Parts: sequence; C-alpha cells; structure tokens
Amino acid sequence: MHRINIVSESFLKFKTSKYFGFLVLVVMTLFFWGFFRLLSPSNFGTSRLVISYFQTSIQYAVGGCGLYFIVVMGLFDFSVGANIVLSSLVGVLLSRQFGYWGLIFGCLLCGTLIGAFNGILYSRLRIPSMIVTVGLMLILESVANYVVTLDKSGFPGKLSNSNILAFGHAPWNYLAAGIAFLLMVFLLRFTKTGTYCNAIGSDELVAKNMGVNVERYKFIGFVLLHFFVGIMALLTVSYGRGMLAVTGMSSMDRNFKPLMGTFFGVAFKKYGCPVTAIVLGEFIIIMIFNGLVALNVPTTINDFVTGAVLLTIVSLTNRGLKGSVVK
Amino acid sequence: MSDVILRSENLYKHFGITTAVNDVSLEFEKGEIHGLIGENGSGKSTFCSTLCGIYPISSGRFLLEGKELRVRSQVEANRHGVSIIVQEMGTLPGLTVAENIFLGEEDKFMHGVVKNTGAMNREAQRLLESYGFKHIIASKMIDNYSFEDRKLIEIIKATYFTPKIVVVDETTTALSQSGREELFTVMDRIKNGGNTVIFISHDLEEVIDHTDRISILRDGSLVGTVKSSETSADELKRLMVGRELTNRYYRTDYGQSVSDEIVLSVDNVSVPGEIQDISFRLHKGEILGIGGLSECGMHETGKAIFGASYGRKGSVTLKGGYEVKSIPGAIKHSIAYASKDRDTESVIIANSIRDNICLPSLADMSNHALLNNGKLDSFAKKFAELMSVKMTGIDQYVSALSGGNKQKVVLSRWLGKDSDILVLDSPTRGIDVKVKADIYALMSELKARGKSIIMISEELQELLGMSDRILIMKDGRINGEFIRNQNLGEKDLITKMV
Amino acid sequence: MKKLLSVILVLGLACTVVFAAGNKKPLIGVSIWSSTDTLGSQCKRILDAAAQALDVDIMYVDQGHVSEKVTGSAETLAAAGCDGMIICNSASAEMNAVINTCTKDKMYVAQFFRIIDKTANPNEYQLACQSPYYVGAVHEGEIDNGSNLIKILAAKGCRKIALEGWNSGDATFLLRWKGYKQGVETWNKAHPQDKAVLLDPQYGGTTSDTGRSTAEAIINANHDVDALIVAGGGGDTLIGALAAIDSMGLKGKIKVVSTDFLADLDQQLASGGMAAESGGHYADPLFAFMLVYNAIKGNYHKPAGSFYEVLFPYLYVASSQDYDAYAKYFVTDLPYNAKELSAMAKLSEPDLAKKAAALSIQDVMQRRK
Repeated sequence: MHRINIVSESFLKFKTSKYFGFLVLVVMTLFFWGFFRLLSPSNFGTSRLVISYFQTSIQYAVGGCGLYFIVVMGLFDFSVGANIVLSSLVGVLLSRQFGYWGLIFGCLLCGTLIGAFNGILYSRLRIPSMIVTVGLMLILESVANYVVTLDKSGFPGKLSNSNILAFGHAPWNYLAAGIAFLLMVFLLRFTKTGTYCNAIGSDELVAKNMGVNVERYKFIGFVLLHFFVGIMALLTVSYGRGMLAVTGMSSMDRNFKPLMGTFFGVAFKKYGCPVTAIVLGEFIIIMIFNGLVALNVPTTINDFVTGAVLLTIVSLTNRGLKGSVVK
Repeated sequence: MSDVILRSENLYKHFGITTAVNDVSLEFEKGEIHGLIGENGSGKSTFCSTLCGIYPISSGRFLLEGKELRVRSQVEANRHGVSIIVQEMGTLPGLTVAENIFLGEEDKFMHGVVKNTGAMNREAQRLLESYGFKHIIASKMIDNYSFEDRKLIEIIKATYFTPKIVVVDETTTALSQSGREELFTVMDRIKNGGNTVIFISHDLEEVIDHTDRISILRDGSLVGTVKSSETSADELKRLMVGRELTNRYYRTDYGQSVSDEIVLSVDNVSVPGEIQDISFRLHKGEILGIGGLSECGMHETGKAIFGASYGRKGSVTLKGGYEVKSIPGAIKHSIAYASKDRDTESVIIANSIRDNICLPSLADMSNHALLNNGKLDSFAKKFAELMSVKMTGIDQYVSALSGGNKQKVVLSRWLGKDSDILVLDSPTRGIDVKVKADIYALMSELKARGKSIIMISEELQELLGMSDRILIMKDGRINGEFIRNQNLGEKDLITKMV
Repeated sequence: MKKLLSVILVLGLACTVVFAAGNKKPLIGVSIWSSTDTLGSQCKRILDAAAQALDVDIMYVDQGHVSEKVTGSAETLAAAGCDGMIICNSASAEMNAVINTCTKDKMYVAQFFRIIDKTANPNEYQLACQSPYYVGAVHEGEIDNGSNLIKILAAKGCRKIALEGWNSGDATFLLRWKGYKQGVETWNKAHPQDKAVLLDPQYGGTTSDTGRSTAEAIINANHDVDALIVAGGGGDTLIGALAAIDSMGLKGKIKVVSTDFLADLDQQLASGGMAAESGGHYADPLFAFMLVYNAIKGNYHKPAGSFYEVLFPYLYVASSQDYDAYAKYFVTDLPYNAKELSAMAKLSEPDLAKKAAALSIQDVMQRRK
C-alpha cells in the first residue's frame, strides 16, 4: 500500500513537470506518424519524407512563436499575413540591389517596423486589437501592391536570382528557424518580457498592481510578433521563390497556419514548453496534410480533418472547468 | 519600549456615495502584531488596501516612521517597506513559483536585458527552504500547486524583503491548521525582528492568541483599541456589534405565524468544496434569512437552489414535485434569483433597462419567435415605474444607473415574471438607505401576497429586521436556526457564525 | 490621434469625389483574380496599352477568384461609374449575379478566359443571352489545350502524370481537366500496351509557397511520377511547383507542363525545368475589352437571344527556339502596337473574332516586317 502511494505520488509529481508535457507532444507526434504510416507505408513517413515534412513546417512554427507573445496576453493580430506579404516583397525588392543583405534585412526590418506601428496604433486608438489589425491588414495589402509596382526587374515579387535562394532549403532554412526558436526560448526564459507577457495574460490588473508596465509590454509584444513574422517572411519567400501581392483581405489566409502552432504553444504553456509545442504542433499539422495527400484525400477534406484534429488536441489539453465562462 | 511606526490620520475612503473608511486615526507600534477586526463591511480590508496602494486614499494620510506615505501600487508599497497578503488569490497562473515571488523585482537578477533565471530560481528555492516550504519547487509552474501552497508562496512574496509592515488580510481562512501554524511562525519572526504585522481575521480566539493589541472597526469608524491580554472574545463581539437596532427600514411585526404550506424543499444539498449537506424547508409567504461569514457557503447555497451550481448533489424540490436541476427549469417553475455580484451576474451592463427587464419573459411575450416591440416597451415601463427606477427612459443603458437602481432593475425583472419564490443574495449591498427602505417595503409586500423569499445577507441587522426565520451557516454547513422574535439580537447570531 | 485619422479619412473621400466628378472619358473596369501575378500583370500591360491607344480610362479590381469577391467586383465597378467591364470569374454560377448587376446598372460586360457552358450552366447561359448588357466571351479551347499537353508529355515518355490545380471547382480548371483526361484516353486507346495514368488533382492555391508545398506532398506521396501538370493559377503556383522539384533534386526527371507562360520560361526550358507550356494568351482580355468598348460606343449590337463568342488560340512553346521567337514579339514588345489597337477598335465583330483567331508568333512576325 505504501509502495502504491509512493508510485502514485511520483507519477503525480511527474505529471506536473515539463518532461510530461514534452512526452505528451512526442507521443502525439509518433501517433500521427504511426497512423498514416500504417495506412500508407509505401508513400508516407520514411526518414527522407519526415525530413521534408519538418522542413515545410518550420516557417509556420516561426510565425507561431511570434504570435505567442500576443495571444498569451489575450490580444490578436490579423495583419500577420499582410505583413508576410509586404515584408517578403520589400526583401525581394532590396535583394535586387543588395543580394542576401537586402533580402534578410528587408524582411526583418520591414516586419519589425510594422510591429512597432501596430503597437503604437493599438495603444493610441484604445480599441480592441482585433479591430485595429483588420484595418491595418487592408493598409498593408495596399502598400504591398504598391511595392510590387516598384520592382522593374520583369519578375515582380519573384526571387529570380538563383544565387539568393539559400533560405528555401537546408541547411540555411534550419539555421534561420533555429535562431528564431532559440531566441524565443531566450526571451521567454531569460528576459522580463517573457514573464510579463505571461503575467499580463493571466491577470492584467494584478500584473499592473505588481508594477508591470502593461502598455509598454503590449507594445513590445507587437514588435516581437512582427520581428518573428519578418523571419517567417524570409523563409516563406525563399521557400516559394516569390510572393504574390493580394488584396481584399486574402492575406488573412496566411494567419491561420502559424496560429494553429500558437494554440499548441498556449495549450502546453503550463508544462513550460511552449516553443517545443509550437514546433511539434506545426510538424503534426504538416504531417496530417501530407498523410491525407498520400491517401489521395482531396484538399477540401484535408482542411476539414486538420481543423478537427486541432480542435481535438487543444480541447483535450486545455479544457476549462465545467461551468466556467469561456471566451 | 513602544514606538509608533505607522499612523493613520483622519483617513477617509469613499466609493461613490458609500463611505467605507470614516475618519480613522490609528497607531501601530514597532515589533507588534496588531489585530484589526470588525463585521463584514466594517472597512478593515479597505483601510489596509489604501495603505498598500490597492486603492487611493480619499482624504487623510498615513505616516510611516513620521513621513507621509502615499503609494499607487503594491510594488511601490513594497519599496517603502509595506506589503500585504490579500484575501483572494494574489499569485499569477502561467508563471513559475520564482517568477511569482519576484514579480516586479526582476532587476535584482538582470544583467543588462538578460535575466539570470538560474539565480532567481536558486534564490527562490533558498527562501522556500528557509521558510520551511521544502515541498515547493521554485522552477515549477505555480499552476501545479494547491490554493494553500500558493498562499504560502504569497507569504514569502510579501515578507522575504523584511518589510516594516505586513498586512495579513483574512489569510488564515484559506489555510489548513499546519498552514496557519507556518503563518503564525512567520508573523512571530516579523515581530521579533522589530517589524509590525496587521492581522485581520474573523476568528476572534485566533486574534486574541496571536496579537498584542486589537483595534475594532464598525461601519468604517474606529470603535477602539484594546490589549489582547486584557480582553475576551465576548467583549470583542460586543465592541463589534454595539449599536442600537433601529426599526426605520425593517418589519415591525413579531409573532406572526408562517403558513405550513411548504413551497421549496432542500434536501442534503452539497457542492464539492463549497457547501455540505444543506437541508431546509421554505414556506409560503415566508422570508427565510440565511447568514454567516462571507465564506460560510451561503452565497453558494443560493446558487445551488437556483440550479446555477455545477456538480451539485442532493435535491431541490418544489411543491408540485418538480426537481430544480437547471436555471431554465428554475425560472420556468417560478423561481427568481438576484446574485450578490450584481454587475457581473445579475444585470447585462451593456444593455438597456428594457432588455434587462424583459429578458426572462421574452418567451412569454413572443409570438412564434417574433417579438412585439410595443409589448416589450410597455412591459418594461410598467415594472420600472413600479420599482421607481430613476432613469431617463427604458432605452437607457444599465451601465449609467447607480447601484441601487441597478438592483431595482433586477427586481423589476422578477416582478415582471411574477415569480413565486425569490432568492435574493445581498439585495441591499452597496445601496443607500432610501433604496434599501424601498426594497424592504417591496419584500414585505411580496410576503403579504404569498410570495416566498430566501434572503441571503452578510448584514445581521437586515436578517434580524426582515426574516421570519434565520439560518446561520458556518464552514459550508447550517450551524444554527432562529425564529423571529423581538429579543433576538446580533450576538445570538454571531455565536453561531464564528 | 482619432481626430487626425478622421481628417485624413475625410480628405481621402473628398479627393475620390473630385476625381470621379472630373472624369468624363469612357471608363472600363477589369475584374481579375490578380493584376500583379505573372499572367495578371501581362494582361494589365496590354489592357493599359489599349486604354491609352483608345483614350479610355481603366480601373482594376483584384478578386482572387473568391466567389463573393467576384460577384462583389461587379457592384464595385458599377458603383465607381464604369460604362463597361470585363471579367475573369471563377465559377460560372457567379455570372448570374454579375449579369444581373450589369443589367440593373446598365454596364456592359464581357468575359475573358471564360465562357458560360450552355450544358453545364443553362440558367446562366440563358441569362447571358437575354441580357442586353452581356456582350460576349473570349475564351480558349481549354479541352483541346489539355489534350495537347498530354500529347506532348506522352510523346516525351511520361506515363504517370500528377496533376496540380489551383482552386477546386474553377471553371477553367474543370475544362482543362476534361482535356487532360481526354488526352489520356486517346493515348491509351492508341497504345493499349503502353498506357498512361493521370492522378486525381490536388489543389495548390495561387501563391508560390502553397504551390510548392502541394507539389512536394504530391511527389512525396507518388515517388514514381514522371510528369506534373500544373494546370494554371496565374503562374505563381507553377513557380512554387518548380521550386519543389528543384529542391527535391528532381529537375529534368519530372517533366512539367503548364498553361500560363513564366517570365523566365526560356531558362526553364533550357535547364529542363519545364517540358512545355501553353500560354501567351494574355491578349485574350484585349478582345473582351474591344467588345465592351464597341458596345459602349454603340458600334456593336449583340445578336438577339445570343452573345458574341471569340475563340482565342494558345501558343505552345516546347523549346528555347520556340521561346526566343515568342519573347521577341510578346515579352519584349506587345503583339499589337498603338496603331494596330486603334484599327482593331474599328473592326466589326466577325472581323474582330478572325483577328483573335489569327494571332500567333507568325502573325506578329508578318505584321512587323
């Protein structure tokens, strides 16, 4: 009996540790891999293919990391997709003159400046972040369409120079994404920013009362989000070898893949491993997409399945108390 | 040798028309544990909250070591050597134990922009061990710990930097016996270090045992300060209570019999962690009062009767045999409920008076899901006028109304529904005397019409003045029952409350 | 801050009103999926040239082939005071709302790259015939196009052919798909011992990164494919698909064909990235523009109970030599100069249709001699 008590106590202790969270993520990843591998062993889940899936997922994971800062504070930003488009186009434009430097700094600087702009507008206008950023999305889309017209290369928005495609494949895409993930871990664990973003998300009033400058850290959250979006833009434009300027809120499509990773991050926050959750979460989503293609399932069903899986995972890991008000 | 470390001079704190702290001048000495007691609403928590920067002072001042103290946040108060362990949860989920302890004070561990998390965790762990809380790990998320453990962490947060003044605001209710012992050890350590503890508690024996002096507040004013060694629980109760009963608002009838007809039966109702094994009957035309300390479970009992509790066991049955299991069912079977938390649970703040009054009655007034706006307007107008709601019109948003008028809107709603049973939780909380009188008059009128009322209240005067019968709850159970009579007094109720 | 924004908003609106009031030339709207992608930007180039030659104002609405935006674009252009519009819709069902809007607002409309199928969409077809404002449609022989591309691939030895579309249900894609299937049937009938297989389509959207991820998924799931048809989508989907094949080290091993010429087609053909492309049809909207222009001017009166139909030819490029000729007359220059555009506007409808059908590299070479 005493032995049983020790075992159950140890298990309870383990259950609240970050290793448990990590284990759950690994088990989920293996589950989805195993599921599709069993159904379709000849064209899914070999080591080569798994690497391919992972490579596709990292750009979204980078965006998911950025969104985490905002979502954890209870805010939202619809202009992420528009920023990816605009930052990519600015990067492409500058790359014509400055090669890699132009591409990298164009994407990162444009992304960060947009973040600062978003943050200032949100704090000045004092209206919900969702509404402010919808307006910003439309503005950014228009600016992106104008930037395309500045590109007189004959290949507007395209990375036509094959000498600057490094971030579209290994090892450079891994390097860029790896730096982003390490930066994220550093910010969350080793700076006040991480602590304060979590504190503001938990209880803004108590955090304010503890001396946290809430407005300042919300602004920092937007800047960091869009800095990471700048990195994502670099990876995306390199991956696709170009970017298309869109209008009419079509850029909103780009918000949702990174957001799905963010949901994983928020769900696993309590285990202290949000970055791992975001990375593995995006990997799982890309694996599901590829698994369904391997099974010859049409794209429309693919979207349905991905959405259902996401809902299932998040609700299982993040269920509120019965009767609690959920917003 | 006594030495005054903190003094309040003519301190006032107003919330709108309510004066929560009324001209309180009080002294606290170095190296003492000073008890602060009073009924619910006496102003003790508000007094301490103004000291700690949670609320701004309306007028008057605090002097700490002779210098004026005026702070705007807890962190600022901490930097002046004043800290508080609050009654509610004072830690933040989503952060580690160490992050909670040092929240707002991270600069100690910063090298430029880099936070030395390892050093912070180590320091937090050292503090945890020095306080004897070895089972708490500094690097773990605080979400993994129980409410009691989080309170212990709060104790460290409030005391590790050796503040001059520590306010312990009704913290012991959240702790087990061992937790309380640990708290008292910390309090003694603070006192022996030459610093001061202001200890707020409803447990009078505990206050007497662990303090040097005790100050009593009543209705926001200071009644007096006594030496703990020279007083008793009875004397303290007398000092807390000692006021004349007035009959200006309340019923003046005594000895009236209540109908034998039972309209509501509550049998063995429990809600895990909140109330246990509650059983009573409600009669037709009866005003049944339920009272006790704030956390005794009375508010949860009201919710349980209305079907608003989750995980409720036991049964709540109406006269016809219908068992109340959900809110829609309760409303359909003529039960009304007004929550203590008016602004968040009773009125829809961002809606009009009309919408608030009509809401539960929409189904009765609609024709195949279509609403007749004219009908709704006249319905709302009728009952708003009946309750004399002070408004510009029924389209006025409830957010623009005073607390009393909001409560009138809530009651109008249920009058409109013509509910037979009304569960009113703290119906006159935060309301001025005129509106209080109106509400009491309404209750008497409803009683005369054969309606039955369960009135849950923290105000003893109100219970004594309006109830035919009073149930007193303690620690989630019914601890006493009193029948209305002229000789029944507050001290009778208090004996069952504490 | 809010006051400043309000002032900017009012000024912006005022400028729009002033601009609109001062404008008296015919105004023709263009509803297109994107005016900035590979094909879209080429269409814009020739339409702008035509507008300049004919002294007509032109305005663009990008609708991304999203249904509600397609139907909304007609309302937008009508509200902007357009006298006529040309439209590349996504699904034929959208034309119901578009034609009704144009009829109500007395705005002439013609389709480009599209035609309403009489059998598949009889209601829309009837509506188009009856509306005095629906002028006609300029379209390509999509089924023949699809069939021809399969012929090219089969001739190059491809037997397992993957298919990447852009949006499910797109009218043009459905016709091309019909053509691919027909092409495969024809080949298999003629070569029963050496059959080809066409896989079911996956959809890669209209952006290059989604084009790439879909192509990667298709190839990962079918590692023995030897050909990939990227059915269309404006060009960016193809760019992504080529990036996928290149990054997987399969350039030249998987033959790629598509419709919509890439800007760097010559390099792709030379390096083996592309096997063949049909395209060069960016002048299609020009003829729709001419139909609407003449309708506004009162020169064209559509036949009762019918509408004008102009068949537009694809150009096929399968080698660098083919491309060089194309590039000279279609990339560096436009197939019609200002003088030719002005003359085209004076043609009767039958002559206009003949003009369209005659367009080819040789035709342009002849005119430039």
